[in-house]
Amino acid sequence: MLGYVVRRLLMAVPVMGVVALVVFSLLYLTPGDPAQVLAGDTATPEQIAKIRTSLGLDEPPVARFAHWLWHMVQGDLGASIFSGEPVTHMIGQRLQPTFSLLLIAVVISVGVGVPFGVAAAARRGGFYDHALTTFTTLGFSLPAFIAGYGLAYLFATTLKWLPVQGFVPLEQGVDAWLRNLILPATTLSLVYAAIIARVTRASMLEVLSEDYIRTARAKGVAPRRILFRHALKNAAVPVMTVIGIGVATLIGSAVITENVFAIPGIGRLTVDAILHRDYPIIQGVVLLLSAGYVLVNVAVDLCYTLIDPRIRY
Amino acid sequence: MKRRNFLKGASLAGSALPFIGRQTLAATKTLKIIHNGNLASLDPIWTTAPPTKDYAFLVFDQLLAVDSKYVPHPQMAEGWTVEDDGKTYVLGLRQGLKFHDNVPVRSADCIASIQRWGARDGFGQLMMKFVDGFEAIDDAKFKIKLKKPFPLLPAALGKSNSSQCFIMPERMAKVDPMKQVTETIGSGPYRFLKEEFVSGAKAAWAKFDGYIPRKEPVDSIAGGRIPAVDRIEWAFISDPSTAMAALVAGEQDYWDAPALDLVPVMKADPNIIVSPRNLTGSYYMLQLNHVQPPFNNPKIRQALAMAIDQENFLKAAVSDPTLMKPVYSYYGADSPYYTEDGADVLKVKSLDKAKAALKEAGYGGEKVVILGVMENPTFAAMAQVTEDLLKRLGMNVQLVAMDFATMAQRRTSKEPTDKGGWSCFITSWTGSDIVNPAVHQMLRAAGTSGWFGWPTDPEMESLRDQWTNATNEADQKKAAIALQVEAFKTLPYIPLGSLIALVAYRKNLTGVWPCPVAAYWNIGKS
Repeated sequence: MLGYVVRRLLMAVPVMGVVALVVFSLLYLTPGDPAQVLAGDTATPEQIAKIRTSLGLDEPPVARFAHWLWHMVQGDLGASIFSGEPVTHMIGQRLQPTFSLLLIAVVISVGVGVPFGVAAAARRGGFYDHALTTFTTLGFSLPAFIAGYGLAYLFATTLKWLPVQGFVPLEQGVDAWLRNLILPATTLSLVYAAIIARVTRASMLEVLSEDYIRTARAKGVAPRRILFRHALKNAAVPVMTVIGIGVATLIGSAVITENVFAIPGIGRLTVDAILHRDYPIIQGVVLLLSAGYVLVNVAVDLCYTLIDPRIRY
Repeated sequence: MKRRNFLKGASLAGSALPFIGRQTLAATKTLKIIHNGNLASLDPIWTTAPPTKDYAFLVFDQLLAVDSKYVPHPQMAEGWTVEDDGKTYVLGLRQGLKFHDNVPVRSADCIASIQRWGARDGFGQLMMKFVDGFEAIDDAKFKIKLKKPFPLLPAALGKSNSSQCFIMPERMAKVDPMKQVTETIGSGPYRFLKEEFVSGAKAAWAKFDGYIPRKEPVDSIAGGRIPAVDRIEWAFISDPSTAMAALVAGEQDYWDAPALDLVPVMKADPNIIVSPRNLTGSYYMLQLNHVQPPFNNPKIRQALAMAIDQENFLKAAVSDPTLMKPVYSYYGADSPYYTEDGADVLKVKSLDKAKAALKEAGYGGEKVVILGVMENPTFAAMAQVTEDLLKRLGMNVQLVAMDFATMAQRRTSKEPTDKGGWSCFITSWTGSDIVNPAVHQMLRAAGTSGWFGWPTDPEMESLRDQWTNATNEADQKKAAIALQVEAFKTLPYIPLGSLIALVAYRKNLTGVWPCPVAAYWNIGKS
């Protein structure tokens, strides 16, 4: 098992190298000059050229890539062109809000999606099954920015139960941290919960039609035990796969949600960096996210062995 | 201890933590501001980005500062005297001024700060051409020696537009002007809390107890800069609907740039005040490329100007007529040089006459590329109006949608439009940016070394020099007006009128005064 994990992590290194090269090349080809943005409207061409030189932007692309790569392997992702702050520090400041948002969103999605899917499969064509169809249709069709505004209008502006925007770090109190995350996490989890519910239902229906379930029923095993002990465990592998893929998707969706609820996370950092052509930040964030995807996939693969003892690496 | 008791205790301790936090914050009067721009750089000399300027007005102070009529007054300075037939200025500092690290402000700090600012700012560079040298008489008094009289020196040191001459400790001011300073030590009314700063998300300041404000009432950026709250916080909320909801819910106190389509909703709320604050307004312009066809032809520029009706551009951006004003001048409406002399071409407003003039000018169907910045709603609307107008004129038009960073790079191209060049774009400056020929970067015609568009007109440059060298107000005004008349012949750009920007804030804020910059001293909370 340990050997497998090490092998998977080592395989991630060339993947991230390719990601780094592609991102660097795309940024090089993208129009836009941070020195121009920095210098402001009153700057002369000479001043802009000096700023470009001071930032190393006038070096050949290969030299810039080699320079960045060399520092990157030493754990130095460079400094923001605009603020001069180390990229690792800037990303570090944004990790807690994004991870908090993702954590609560995953908890809500799994907490809602799995039981809903199980209930719908257990009574196929019944109330829960129809309710699930309605819920998933809503979840798939409501864009995050519409759902976010709707939830904020109802629960924050009208009922005043929850704050409209912002993020409170966990160190300042669990209740404030949670209160600020409920609406954005709910917004973010709508699609995710719908996907999980759908896959859970489909997977459960397949398992429930298996011979060993029929045998269990014939032996008089309690329906609840059949559902959770026999069926759900065997239906869990595809659900786990969807949860893993979903985490990656959630990171992308978090950009919009963070914007709507003014959460200072990785998503907003990325958007701001792209708008300003702050190359070191964009490269740092993309690398971090690609590393995150790799880790999530490894974690999902390991979870398979916990769910299904037949799977061995 | 039993597991259940342990969990109960931990839970109580957890719930008490935020309570303790709230007790501490309750005693602190905090002004919470929604800031639209992203504060990235903390060096107001290195960049002219508006959020950095707004940050600097809290942290740093100025030697002099202009009032609402652009008359300079002492700010950190006790006053100044002019000696040696206008060739020496002696400035004395007020007693008790100190930086946020409690080190007194000295003449050496001021001299180094002026030199660094003078290396970057346009007005500063003009001033430094006249400067022969600096001399610190003592820690509280210094001389600026000039090669020849430069009566605009106090106006330059106290200016409110673009990059201001902020005073920093000497060690910071000695940093290469092309590199950012890393410290945030100023002598202004608020200390920057760098440890709380999250670029693009949050910034905070605390009242500087050692600050001694002037006694005079505030007038524009002149007068007393009183730290009226204990703490100021900026939240960068980019989504307008969220920003409005946060203001209405009382989570924030002030919004520096409310979205105009949300103004009616906020006006309906009795707890919200929506009003103009920067009364100098924002001036919109159609910048033309003078080095490539078709606008390298002065007759085609004149034909285009004849077709433009400023109201059509302004109405595309705002619906409230009280917020717009056609301006037939190259100077702002509150400038001492404001005049409509020479602006007849802008008052034609006739598509038929413009078509005839365009035909006579020999327009041969050359492609017109408009650089449209779509992330700014006003720029986007005006770019679309331009596209429509040019099409109705019979021109071959392409509107290229892009973000600001792309436009900032593409506008540097002097190439033809089929090789990545451009023909025109919409831009804007504040009233204080176009108040006189020294600060007005667009009222230049120095050719390819000038601003994007690169108009060439030696007569305009000569008239600007006449204004700079004039030793009395009458001669200055005469030169400034002659410069405008000449500019309407050359058309370095076409003025599109002005819009008044609004701010929105909660009713319990006190001391919000008309100001050309987003300054937050003097604003209190009841």
